[in-house]
Amino acid sequence: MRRFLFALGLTAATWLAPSAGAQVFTSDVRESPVAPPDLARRGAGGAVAALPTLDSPFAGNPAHITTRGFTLNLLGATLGVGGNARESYRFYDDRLGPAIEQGLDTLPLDTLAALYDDALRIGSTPKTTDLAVLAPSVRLAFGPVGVGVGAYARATSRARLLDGGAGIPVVDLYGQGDVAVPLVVGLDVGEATGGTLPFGLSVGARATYLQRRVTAKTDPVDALDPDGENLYVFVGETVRLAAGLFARDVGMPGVDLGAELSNVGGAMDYTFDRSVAIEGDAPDDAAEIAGLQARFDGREPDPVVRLGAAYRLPINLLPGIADAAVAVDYTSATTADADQSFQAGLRGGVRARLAGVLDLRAGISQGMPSAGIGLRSKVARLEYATYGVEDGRLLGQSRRRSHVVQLRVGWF
Amino acid sequence: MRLLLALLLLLPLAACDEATGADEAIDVVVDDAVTARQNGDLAQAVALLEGAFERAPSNAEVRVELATTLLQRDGLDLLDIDRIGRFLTEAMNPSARTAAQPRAACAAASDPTARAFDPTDVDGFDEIYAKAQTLQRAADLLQPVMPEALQSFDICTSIQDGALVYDRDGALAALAAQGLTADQQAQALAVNALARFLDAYVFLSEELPQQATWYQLADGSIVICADDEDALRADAEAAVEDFGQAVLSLDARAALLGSGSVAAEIVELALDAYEEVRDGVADYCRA
Repeated sequence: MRRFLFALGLTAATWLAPSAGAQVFTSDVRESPVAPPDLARRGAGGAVAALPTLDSPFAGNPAHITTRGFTLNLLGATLGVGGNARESYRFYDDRLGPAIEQGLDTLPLDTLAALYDDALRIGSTPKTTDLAVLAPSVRLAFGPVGVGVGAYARATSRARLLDGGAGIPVVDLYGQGDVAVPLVVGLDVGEATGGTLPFGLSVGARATYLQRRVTAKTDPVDALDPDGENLYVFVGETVRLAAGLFARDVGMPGVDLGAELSNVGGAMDYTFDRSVAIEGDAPDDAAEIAGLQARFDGREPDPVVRLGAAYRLPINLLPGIADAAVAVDYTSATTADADQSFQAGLRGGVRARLAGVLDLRAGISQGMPSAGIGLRSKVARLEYATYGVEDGRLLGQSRRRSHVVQLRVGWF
Repeated sequence: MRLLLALLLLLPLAACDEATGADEAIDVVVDDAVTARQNGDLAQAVALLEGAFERAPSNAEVRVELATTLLQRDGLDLLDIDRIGRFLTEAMNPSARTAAQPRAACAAASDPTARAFDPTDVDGFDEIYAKAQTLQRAADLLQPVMPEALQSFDICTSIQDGALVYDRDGALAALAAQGLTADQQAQALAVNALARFLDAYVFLSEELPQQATWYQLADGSIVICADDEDALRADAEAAVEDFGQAVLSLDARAALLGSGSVAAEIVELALDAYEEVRDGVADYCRA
């Protein structure tokens, strides 16, 4: 019996393999915030409220829209892989694949048991993917007023194999696809009031149209029908709002403060969109569709508060180094199904630009190190970031690491 | 600036989060235990759940998760049933039957082709037997959770014409009424089936030989020769009922998971296996 279950589990793993990959993935029981991938932020530990990046008006603090003039992103792509995708691949390549070729029924019981136990152990760590296409986006400044608009599509997925009791594997798959169009507007209050304030101050607001598609499959492997199994896709749309403040040179030169409130409003009202056959040709399962509908309808978008402080080092502190800064943030956003501790909301990082073309970033996010590197020119950017994500309620409970690369062209 | 630096210095300390406290809500403790179990930290999971069980012994979720984790910690899972099933299948001719005979009139004892059959020869039996207390604990933990319809299995009436006869819908409703999610219900039923099956096999293999001798005949039949056939049946009845409850649990789980699932086919296999055992050691329904 178990051998049969094992074969089914392997089949399930095969289904999931194409989607194995990376992250921003948070929880599938909460309505996750909408945000384009911002690798400059990820590499610097996620501290962004008081540390503007090219994407932060769209992904973080909308008040940052006033910090730069014209930029244009023509096209970009992001690819991320997270969790133990590499270990999973090697396990499949070295052991599981050959075992399937040989035939599971021919394996000695102890060999099968070891294979099975390792499959559950390796499968229990999420494998995540993060794919995004950055459509054209533009930032403009008209005096003290900054405006930005853009569009992007992003698909994230998570796959894992859990022990559902008595050694029966449970397939847990979640996928989400977003199409988003953020519109940002901001005002440099200091400039608009003729410099009457003792520090620089910008305010901003953002409205993001979001169309989200979600799907999930959480079943013991023996509940899967080997002759036909479908994924059911639900679609919903909404508008999410955000507002932010960004103060510069507060108290002393180089000290900046930022605050943002995002992910406000816009509960999703999902409707069944379509079914996608992942094996065979099976009729739609009304009970499964109803269960998923209830699961997705129960998700609420929690507003996210983010507070941050940054210190920009003097421009000519060291020759060849520019844009050096250190920053810390606290965010109320959670990356787990459960509410997380205060510590899980802390972010901190540093960044600097070398020779005008090389961006270096490092930081700590949720107690795990982050790092990033970027090559920049006026017309193209190539970025890489690695960072940790805490899937558990407490720090250290259930960690995983993501790696993301991004290439884009435009005028920056 | 000094505040900024202080915050930066504090960031690494964020890695040191507080552990689950004794006064955490039970559902939080269970969530932490599930996370620990899925991460392979079974000692931590058991510790958390034992604490929760002490505080809330009637909590069905705690009982189900603790029983699950104890079996996982001791390496007891479906592979053990697979081992036993394969052992019996390989030992027996498909057309052969199991039967009990009075030892005094036991033809097998004088049959030159008969050889002693030892049910403990199954690969890994010693490991299973060494964990008998865990099996009993898991079964005890789940007993208050399992609906009456599953526990009132009757050797003579619960299976008629190869079909299970019990209040399946009532059993599932009773499970749901305890606040268990569908996933937790399926988990409880699977773990109950595993614990009952292995517990019963250990009893039949280890305790029954005290008063009976097992033989395998040339045609593959297994014959159990007992000093007192009635006493044998009486002693075996509880174990056979445990087998029956395991089959009912699997059947209820299959119904929960939906029609057409492989789980339903597993029930068919379990039912066949059960009838073999029942006919062998407790067939007084026919007598």
